[in-house]
Amino acid sequence: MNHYDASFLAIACALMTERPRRWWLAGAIPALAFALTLLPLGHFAAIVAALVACTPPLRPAAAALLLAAPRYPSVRAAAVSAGLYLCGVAVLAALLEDRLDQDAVPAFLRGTPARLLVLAVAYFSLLPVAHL
Amino acid sequence: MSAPVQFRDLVVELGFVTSAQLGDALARQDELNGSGVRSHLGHLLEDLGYLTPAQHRLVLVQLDMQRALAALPTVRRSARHGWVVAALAPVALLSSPLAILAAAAVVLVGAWLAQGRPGRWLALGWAASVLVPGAGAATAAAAGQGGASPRLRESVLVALIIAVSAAVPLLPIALSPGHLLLIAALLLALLRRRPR
Amino acid sequence: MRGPFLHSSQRTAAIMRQVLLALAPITVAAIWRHGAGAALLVLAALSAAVTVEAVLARASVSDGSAAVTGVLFALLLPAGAPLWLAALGGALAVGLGKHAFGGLGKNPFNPAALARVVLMGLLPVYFFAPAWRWDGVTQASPLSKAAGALLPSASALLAGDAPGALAQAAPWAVLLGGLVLLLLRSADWRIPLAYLAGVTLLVLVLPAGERMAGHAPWLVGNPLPHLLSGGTLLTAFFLLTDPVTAPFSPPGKLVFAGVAALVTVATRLYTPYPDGAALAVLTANACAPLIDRALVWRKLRRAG
Repeated sequence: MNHYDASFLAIACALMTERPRRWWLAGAIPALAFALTLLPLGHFAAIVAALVACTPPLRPAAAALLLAAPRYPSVRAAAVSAGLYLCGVAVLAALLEDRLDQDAVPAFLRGTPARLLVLAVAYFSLLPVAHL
Repeated sequence: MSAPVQFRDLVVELGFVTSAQLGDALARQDELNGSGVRSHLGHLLEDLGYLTPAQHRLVLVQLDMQRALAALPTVRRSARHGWVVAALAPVALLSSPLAILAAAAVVLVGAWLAQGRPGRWLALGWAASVLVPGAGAATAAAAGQGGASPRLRESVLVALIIAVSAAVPLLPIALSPGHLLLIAALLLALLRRRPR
Repeated sequence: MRGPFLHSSQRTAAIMRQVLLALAPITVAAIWRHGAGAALLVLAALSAAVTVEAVLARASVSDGSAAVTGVLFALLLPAGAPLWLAALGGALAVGLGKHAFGGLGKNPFNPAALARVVLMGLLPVYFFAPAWRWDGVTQASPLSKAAGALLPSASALLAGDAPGALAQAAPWAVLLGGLVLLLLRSADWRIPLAYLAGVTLLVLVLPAGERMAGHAPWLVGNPLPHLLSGGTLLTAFFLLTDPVTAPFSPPGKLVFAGVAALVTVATRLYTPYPDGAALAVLTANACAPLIDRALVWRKLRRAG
């Protein structure tokens, strides 16, 4: 899983589940995961990142765990991932709440499928970010 | 769900103290509580010379294990848990035998360590998937086990997303999360269209 | 809070007729430059879009919105695209881009741009060909960062004498169509103006990306190829100005156009993608509700 896919899955998780009040805290995880890779921890760097991602204030945010999953090759990759997660959740949450009229959506697409469609479109739209 | 196991019951059940000794300690605890001093029953039993420090530690460990085991039936009893496992079965089939073993270990150890907390289940599953390369099923199973919590839908969704992402590299075609989201949306729509 | 929906079908039909009129010079220029192949592409996308509209919402076929979507999608296609891709895109634009979200006026994304981007994700080979057949020889688009890409002269760029999508066949025709739209007041002038100004400014300000080392030096600090190549002009006048997917307030529209300009230029300068216009449209569409929220919040804070 590359860092773009991980960020996007984290966005999907944050938007498809009950979003915790402090969802933005997960934005710090990529930086933490990158910092841990600088320490001589080997595989344990990933485990420590996963455990930190699940600390009590972040526990409901599975998004944090997804953000801890990839191996960030550089500070830039971690910053892009964090930025993508924070902006993605803010932008798409507003879009889903304000512009997606669930009553107008056909019955068979109403709710989760319509939200998934929006997320899929957003994934393809933001694909160039993966190359930044 | 049965009442949680108590320290006072376990210490007698294990034969470390008698009911009379326990009665003494409880009376002493009431006295201390009355004077505003909070004290732990185990320490009081130690102070009174009824329980050794080693026995005390053993009771505490045993207590934790008993409580973890008590949590297991709630996982099994959850009617919804069945379809969580069923949904994860194809992923398990795609994974290596080592990964499936890791998944089983996560389920067993996780019941003890994580109990009903989805976040901890995820951490455990993910740690397992890091230790056993390609153990996507372990992650998925762990997240799915979070189904024992009230947030079943969340756990299932997270489990499925992680499971499918973990399985994708094993498939002969290239699929990105974008494709998966589209496919998921269309599948859900098709399932809803099916006449009942 | 919901989108600014168009309720009057007569008003919708009138606007769509005006948009089709504005698209006519671009379509004619594309057919003139690329021949019958371009005509067939437009026809395939148009007929697929209208057919899907007829199946899903027979009553709204006559308002012309499906026809506009079909033509716009075709104009975003490479000249050598297969006919089935045009038909699939037209159908996807109307089926997925419009009706999956509740029909006209309720779509959060521009349907034509959505179909282009989704197909680009699903079938990248048809959109990322390393080079284009052009005047009997193989050439790279002026926006391409591939080795062998050449920058045509300014006059050639304006005349559309460079490989690219159908809409790129004649930038002057897109400008003409855009002016028609603005004169008929079918589009808000702020969006194209802010978008084109934003692209110009950002190209002048932003440094070259690592990926451009040794390739296409004309893309850095030179706004002309950015403005006249790729989907810039079509995006400015036809895709971003869709009132349903843009913010409500005039200042919001300026921010919206700025976001689109930033994504367009950043995609071209810092990623391997040759053109980010359609991606910019969808990204800006996604940002529109947040822009509205931010501006309303600012206004309320000032008021009270």
